[in-house]
Order: sequence, then C-alpha cells, then structure tokens
Amino acid sequence: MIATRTQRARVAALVLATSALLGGGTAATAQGAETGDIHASLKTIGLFTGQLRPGTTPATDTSAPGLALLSFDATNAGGTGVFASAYGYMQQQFASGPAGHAADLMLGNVGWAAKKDEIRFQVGRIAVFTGGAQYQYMDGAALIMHLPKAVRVDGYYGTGVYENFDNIFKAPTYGGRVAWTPWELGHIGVGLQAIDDVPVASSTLDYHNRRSLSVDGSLRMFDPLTAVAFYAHDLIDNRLQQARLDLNYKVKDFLILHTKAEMRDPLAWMSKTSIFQAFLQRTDGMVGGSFDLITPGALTVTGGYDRFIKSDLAVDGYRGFLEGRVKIDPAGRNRAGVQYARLFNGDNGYDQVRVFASSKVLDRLTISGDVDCYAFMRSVRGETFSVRGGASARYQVMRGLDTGLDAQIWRNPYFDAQALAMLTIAVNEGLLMAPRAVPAALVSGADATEVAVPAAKKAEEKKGDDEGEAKPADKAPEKADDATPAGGKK
Amino acid sequence: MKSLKGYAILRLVLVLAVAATLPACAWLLGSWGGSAPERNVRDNVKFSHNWHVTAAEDEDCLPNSKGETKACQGLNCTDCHDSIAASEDLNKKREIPTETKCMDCHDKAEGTCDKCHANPAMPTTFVDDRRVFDVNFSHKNHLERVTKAGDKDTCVRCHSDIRKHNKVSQDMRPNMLVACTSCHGRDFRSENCYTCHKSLKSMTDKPVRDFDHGADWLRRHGAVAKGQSKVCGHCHQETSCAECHAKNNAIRPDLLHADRVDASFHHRGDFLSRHSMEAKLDSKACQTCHTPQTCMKCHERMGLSQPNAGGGPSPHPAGWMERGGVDNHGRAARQDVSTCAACHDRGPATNCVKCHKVGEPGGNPHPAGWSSKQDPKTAPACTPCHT
Repeated sequence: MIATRTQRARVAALVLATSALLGGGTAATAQGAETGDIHASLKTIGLFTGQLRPGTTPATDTSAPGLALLSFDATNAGGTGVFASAYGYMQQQFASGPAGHAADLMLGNVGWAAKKDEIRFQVGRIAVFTGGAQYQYMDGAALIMHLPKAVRVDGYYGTGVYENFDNIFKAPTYGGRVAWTPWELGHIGVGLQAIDDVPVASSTLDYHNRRSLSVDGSLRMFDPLTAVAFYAHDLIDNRLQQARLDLNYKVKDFLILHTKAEMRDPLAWMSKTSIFQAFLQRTDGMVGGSFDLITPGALTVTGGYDRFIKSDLAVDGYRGFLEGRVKIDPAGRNRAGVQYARLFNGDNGYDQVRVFASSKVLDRLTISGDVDCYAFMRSVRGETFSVRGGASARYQVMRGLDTGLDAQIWRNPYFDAQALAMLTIAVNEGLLMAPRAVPAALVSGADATEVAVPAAKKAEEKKGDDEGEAKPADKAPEKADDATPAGGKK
Repeated sequence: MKSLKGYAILRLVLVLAVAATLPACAWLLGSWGGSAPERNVRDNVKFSHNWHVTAAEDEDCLPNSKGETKACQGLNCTDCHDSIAASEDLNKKREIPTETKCMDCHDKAEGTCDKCHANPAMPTTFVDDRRVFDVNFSHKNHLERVTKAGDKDTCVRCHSDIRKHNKVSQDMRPNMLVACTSCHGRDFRSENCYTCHKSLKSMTDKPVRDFDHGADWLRRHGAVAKGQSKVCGHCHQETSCAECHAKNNAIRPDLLHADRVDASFHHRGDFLSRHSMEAKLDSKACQTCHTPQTCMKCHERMGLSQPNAGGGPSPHPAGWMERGGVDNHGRAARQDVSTCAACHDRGPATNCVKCHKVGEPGGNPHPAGWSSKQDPKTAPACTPCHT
C-alpha cells in the first residue's frame, strides 16, 4: 500500500515538476532573448557488460542498457527573471538486467530571481543544504533572500527524494537558515531542520521525526587562511549529531595545506525508527590533513591522511594517499600521474597503486587510460588481489558534438573477469549564445560617441575623406536599435 | 561512562590543539619564506573614461608640453589605446597608455600634477601591478570576430560600462558572465576554464582563491560549499552538482566521466571489492548519498542478503557467531551497525532483538551509558521490546 501510494505521489510530483519545468523553460527562453542563455546537452550511452561470477546467483549477468541523459540550464546573466534546470534520464535494457526500462528526473526545477538575484525562489525537484554539511534532494520549494546588512535567509519545504523509485516519498522535509556575512571576514549561520526518517520499505512502523539545530560559520583570519566549521545538534536525543572544522592555508602559491577534524554520531543519518539505534551510542572522531605542492615545473604532488577514532572500540582506522601528476609538455596536452593509497578499517584494508595518463593526440582526439591494482590485507572471498584497466577515447566531431569510447576490464574477488564498454555521443549546445545587444543607454542620446576599431575607423575615415564628409567623430550617434548586433535577439 | 567522557575530552583537546597549531605553523612557514612581498604603493592616476569619451560642449583643455591645445574630450578608444587592434597577448603588453600619451593633450606645468595624480609628490604612470594577468586574450583575434560591417560600437560590446567609469578600477574589465560567455558559453558550461584562463589562482572568485580545488577536495567540498551555493554557482551549474549528487542517478559519476582519469571519484576503480572496507571505516560518507536500502537492494539482487539467500553464500565470515573472535558479529556491529541494517532492519523478527533482549541469550542490547529522550512506550524503535 505504501509503495503504491508512494509511486502515485511520485508520478504526480514528476508530472508537476516536468510541467513546471517546461513552462519555466519556455518563459526563460522567451526572456533569454534579452539577457539569458540556455544550455542543453544530450548523451547516449550504451553499456555492455559480460561477467562470470562463480558461486552466486545468477551465474552470469549481462546488461546492455541504452541510456539517454538530458541536462538543461537556463539562466539570466543579469541575475533576474526566470531560470530553470533539469537533468533526467531514460533507460532501455537490451539484455538481461535489473530493469527493462526506466526514466526519472534527477533534477528539475524552475525559479524566479529578482532584485539582482537577491531574492530567489525555486520550485520542483531541487537540492537544498540542510543541517551540518548535509544536503537534501526534494520535491518542493525553496526561497533564498539576501536582506540588507549582508543577512541571508533560506527556507525550504518538500518531500525527500531518495534512491530509486520505490522508496518512501511522503515524509516531509522542511527547515530554514539565517546567515550573516559581514564584509569579507566570513559568515555565521544558524539553521533548523526537520527531516522525517525513512524506514525500510517493508516496515509497518510509523515515521519518526528528526529535528536538528545547526550552526555553521567561516572565518578568513588573514588573507590566505580560511576556517570553516559547523555543529549540528540532534534535538530528538539531545546529543551531538556532527561537528566539523576545516582549515585551509595557502602558505605560498605553490603550497596549500588543509586540515580537518570531525566528531559525529555514526547513526546520526539513520532512521530513528531503526532498532539499531538501540545498539550503539557513541561519537566517532576523525582528524586529517592534506597538502598540495605545485612545483615551478610541471609536477604537482598532493597527499592526505585521515585518522578515524571510534571511542568504544580498541580499533582505529585510517586512510591516506599520495599522488604525483605531471604535465609532460608545457601546454598540458600530455599528462600522467601515479597514485598510492592505503586504507585500514580495523579489520581489513588495502594498498592501492594507480597509474593514469591522458594525451591530446590531435586537436580533436584525446585518449586516456589507467590501471588500478589493489592488494587486500585480508582476503576477500578468498582473493587478496584485484586489478582493473581502462581506456577512453574522445573525439570532437565538430564544435558541440563529441563522441567517446570507453572500455574497462577487471578481475576481482567477485568476478573472474568482467568487461565494460561504453559508447557516448554528446551534444553540448548553447542556444542563445549570440553576442548581446549593446545597452541602449550607451549608444543613444547626445553624449554617445563613436568607439570603433581602427579598421572600421580607417575605412570610414577613408570614405569620409573621399567623399569630403565630416569625420565619424563628428557624426550624430546611431540609435540603439541600429546598434543591435547581427544575430542578437531582443 | 567515565571512559566515554575521557575520550570526549581527549578528542576536544585534540581538535583545539589542531585549531591552535595550524595558524602557528602557518605563521612560521610564512616567516621562513621571507617577508611578504612589498605591495607597490600606487599613485592612483585619476582618470575618467566617462569624461574623456564624452563630447565636450566647452573645451577648456590646457595646452600640452608642445604648446598645442588639443581636444581631450570626445575621444575614441583608439586615440589612446592606439595599438589595441594589433595586441595579441595582454600578458606581454597591457595596452595601458603611458604618460607620453597623456602628454599629447596635457602639459606638465607646475602645480597641475594633481589634476591627474592622486599623489603628486610621488607621481607614477598607472601600472596594474596588483595581479598577474592570467587570461589568454588577444584583442586582435577578438576584434576581428566581433566587428561587423559598419559596426561602431565594437569595444563596448565587451567593455559595456566603460563610458560610465569616472575612475580607474578593476570594474572596468568586462564581466565574464556577461561579455565572455556571450561567445564562450559552451566553454563556461563545460568548465573548460583553461580555454581562456592561464591560471585560476588570481581570480577574484572566492572558491578558487580561498578554497583551491586541490588535494582531497572530493571530501572537503561539502563543508566548504554549505551556505555558499551562490559562490559555487559562478562556475558550476545546478545540473553539474546533480551529476554526482542526485539520489536517483542512472549512472555512476566515474562511469559517466570515464575519460577523466585525472579526476577524483568516490567509486572509481574496483569499488565493489573495497566498498565494505570503505563503509566500515566511514559509513557516514556513504550515508551522505545512500540509505541502507541501497545496500539491501543490491545484496538482494546478488543473492547476498539473508532473506533471499536461496542457498547462496552468506556474506558473513566464518566465526561470525564465535564469542570473542575477531570476526564476531557483535564486534562488527558495534563498529558499523548501519552495515547490518542494510539487510536486517526489517522488524524484530529479522534483526538483533530476536536474541538481544532481556531473557534471551543476547541480553540487554543497550550499550553502557545509554540514554534517549524517546518514549519507550511509543517510539517505534523501542516498542518491539518495551511493550
């Protein structure tokens, strides 16, 4: 029953969002003639997988979905008027696989911005930031207002979008945030959020509200040092949900340091209806840092290390990486890199080595490839090693039309061998990219004077000299309508 | 209880220590590199484009150094920027007129320096030395493209507000989001920044200056982006966020951008083999996008979850039920109970409370120090046992 109601509501929301999007897109297109621009892209991806997976059911599973992705953005450069965004897909399965066909809208909204984007209203399938560093995709509406004194107020209401089609839909999500950004020093914000938890699909349990209060802020203590922090408090259980501090310091242009520290309830983002909440009550910690070192040559070295601390266990975990990448030629047409990573979670972990390279062979052809190897500390399904190799080629047929071919092959604890191939055709087109009209105020009236390039000037001067006319500077200015460039829409 | 508090205090001290140590280290490192480069004290040449291009009704220009009186109003751009049409690289020559050019109209009579110089005691020619000019830009190439036959307003097509400016400032530069994207919208949308920019380091946009997208950016960007979506929006469209973050994505980002071998993706490589390790270490990172149902569905489909095992292998290692063993289920559950929830969170018949309740072999499930504000008689998570 829940699933049926959920699906019905979801379909209704999709229809609503799509309608709003089409209407908004049309309006944006009409208005875009003055200041806006529209971008659309279409990708078609064929995914072909052959696999052999002993000991599991089914023994073989080949999938070949044809996938069409469409993304659409319409905005006004001036920051006012209608804007719209959409990102959706259609999929058709051509071989055995999990779904015959599917379609969904991953993002789809239309909005209105006013007063140079100081007021912004969005409705449809939107993404909003909620407590802590979390974000939420929802079918609903959001309002952002930039008030005087650098105060920003956000509010949102909707129903959460979760993975796949058959998850719970009805739970409302709402909240708001007030933030103040004094000068360039940074900002401080306070937010309140309410998210109704998502129990498992088969659960008959009722929902249980989640409420949290969060405080976030950033501080630029002096120019190259920035601190970002937030704290989220679970109002249901009256305990810490998550707290985090990030520091970013640009020592020199060639050396940047980052550190971070975080404390969190490991079940903070799990359903409060879950019985598993009864088994755990602790706060985990994480401390880490990373660096970027950009040498005067073409070499960039980056690295990082995170330490995880779990208070009620005598086991800590960590992950770290070190990566070097180099531009083989000054223009960066050929690049290569090597990465080493290590992870240990207290029970198991891995060492990883990855080598990658890309090369712009011709003006329009780019090829790239990588090889990825893992050595597991303890065996996974009897295997201690995994390897994967991939290669890609991208060719620009013409401006706005690209094709790509990707292939990957791997052997790991789950598959003796598996391969994947993808064919991509991508169209990226700006629909209203003609030069915009010169503002009328600049070219009309008595004070407007000619501003022309020498070639044009010389031509006119020559003409003027030949015909005995006055020089262009002495001419009356042209009217705004005459100055509209060819191809520019009004 | 005591040890929990001890750990909490220890962690707090650790966080504060990191917060205090970093600025100190940063200051030291900065000191080692020598003193900060001395900022040039600029003269701030007083120049009004507005005044100079406006047609003069009453010309009162002073005679220049050669004794000639020339009109210094109603000028064309190329009267001063005379070689702009041949300029191919702004990094080599900025095409800012020198004082010699000013002297075509103005004179150097004593006492008149302050007409142009804000600091007549130390007069300098305007030099924009604050930032490295980092754009690959050729006026020559662009003028050829944007000039139409009979066009008289070519310069203002990009420098749209130049005639309004009464002082020299960075605002005179064309607005990238208006001028450049008129033609380079595709590059902008596809984030091909380096088509035009040699480097992004000197851009005034905050995310690049303050939050360089370098090491570990994948794990840091969420905290930085919060509350600054408008800043991110300078370069990123909402759909580009959705490519990775939409909850119902059709294809993994690392497959969608398989050719971006230099980019970081959470699921790149053999994620299948390592996903359980990653989830145990940092389950919250998974929960940023996924719910336990994600795990459940896949495990069901692959025959790995208990209800649909159907004779397939159990996902649990040997020794799962052995007390005190390294692979004991209780130990694993305490480390990352959300992983258990992927398959077992289906009511009391399928999960731990079947055994773990008072009177059963597992005993009281609540850990030491347990507290909750929830009502055990009504809260859904409590009612299976607290009837």
